[in-house]
Amino acid sequence: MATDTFWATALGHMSELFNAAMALTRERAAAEDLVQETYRVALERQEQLRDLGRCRAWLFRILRNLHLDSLRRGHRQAELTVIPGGSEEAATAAIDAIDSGFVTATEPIDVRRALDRLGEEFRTAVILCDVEGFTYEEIAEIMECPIGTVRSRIARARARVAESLRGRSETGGLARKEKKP
Amino acid sequence: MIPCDRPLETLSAFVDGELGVQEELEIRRHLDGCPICARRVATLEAMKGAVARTAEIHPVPHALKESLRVPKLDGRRQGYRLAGLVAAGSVFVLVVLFAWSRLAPRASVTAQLISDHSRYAATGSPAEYATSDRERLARWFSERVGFSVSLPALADARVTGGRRCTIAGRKAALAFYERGKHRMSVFVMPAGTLPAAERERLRKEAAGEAGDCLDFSGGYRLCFSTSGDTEVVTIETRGNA
Repeated sequence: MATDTFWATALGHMSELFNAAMALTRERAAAEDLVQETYRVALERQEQLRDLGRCRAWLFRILRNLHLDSLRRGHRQAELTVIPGGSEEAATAAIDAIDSGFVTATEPIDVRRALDRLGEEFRTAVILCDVEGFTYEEIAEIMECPIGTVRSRIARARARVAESLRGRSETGGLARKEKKP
Repeated sequence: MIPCDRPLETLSAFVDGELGVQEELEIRRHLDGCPICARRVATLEAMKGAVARTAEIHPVPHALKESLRVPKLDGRRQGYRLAGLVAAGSVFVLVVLFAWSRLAPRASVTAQLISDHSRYAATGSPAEYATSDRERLARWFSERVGFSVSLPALADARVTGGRRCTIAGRKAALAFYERGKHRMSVFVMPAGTLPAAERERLRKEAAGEAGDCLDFSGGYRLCFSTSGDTEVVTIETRGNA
């Protein structure tokens, strides 16, 4: 693969990578560093990318791994702790306890807070699916885990977010959308 | 709530369109007769939409964009944060500089053109001025980019519109064409925008040559021509575009 073709394709994903880096780091300077480092690593390892059509997922995989390395170096193990997603029954009960109208009326800031309370592996899986639009197969490639695990994490993540939203609603902690008269 | 044995994971995967054809059909039939699962699916769909709405759009910082788009090895780069990263060790620095030195001669103008084209080919960038009239589009460009723009008539292709762009710091015209299902980008730039040395080097590296057209891996075909005081680069994604 010619370097110029690879580089042109890789640069086409810069905006998505930067937004993902912002979501992961929550800091502009850290996000810039992360994207810069992602492209440096990508350039070094470009021979490993056999199919240019998978460039986007490949770049996200590099970005996530660099972010995880950064968390480990920064001793931010708490963010890496895998929080169990709960039983199937508990997850189903959490979805049953909330209705679609309530979810639709919830402000994005509240959903984001609920996502932030998830373990990294659950949060990343559901964001890659719902925000970035990756398929389960691509997410499995990015997160280096089986597709079945991706499927489970996404379902559990949705249940945990539902549970969190309901909990905050009951304590009056949600910013609700104003209803027009 | 009446229990139902359909796993939440299956309903969640259904919402994501990740079930096989048979399983999806089976779930659809099941939903027709099971209000419990139908409600769960509605909630999961709402959850998916709510998470999607959390997306924040942050413009890419100009400095970051420029440092990656036009790699340089001079002192101007050293102030950027990458220097902090590579300062971890002198060996590491050498590796980075070597990588950039491989890239620097090849990226630049052509890389930007391919990047712009691939975005259009993949998503259909909205035209700043949409028209199928080639002459009218050329006049529209000429009034805005500071030089006379002439757009080529391409066999079996039709113009769909265009937008202004900046190539290597100079105003340029980007016209969109369609040939069947294939999208084509036609860049009209002031003469000299594409350095002769870069053009010559690319010609040598291209996988195949046909006249002034160069084929690159990835299915891109670039054709170069001149018109008056302008140079024209046509890019087409061939194969599965």
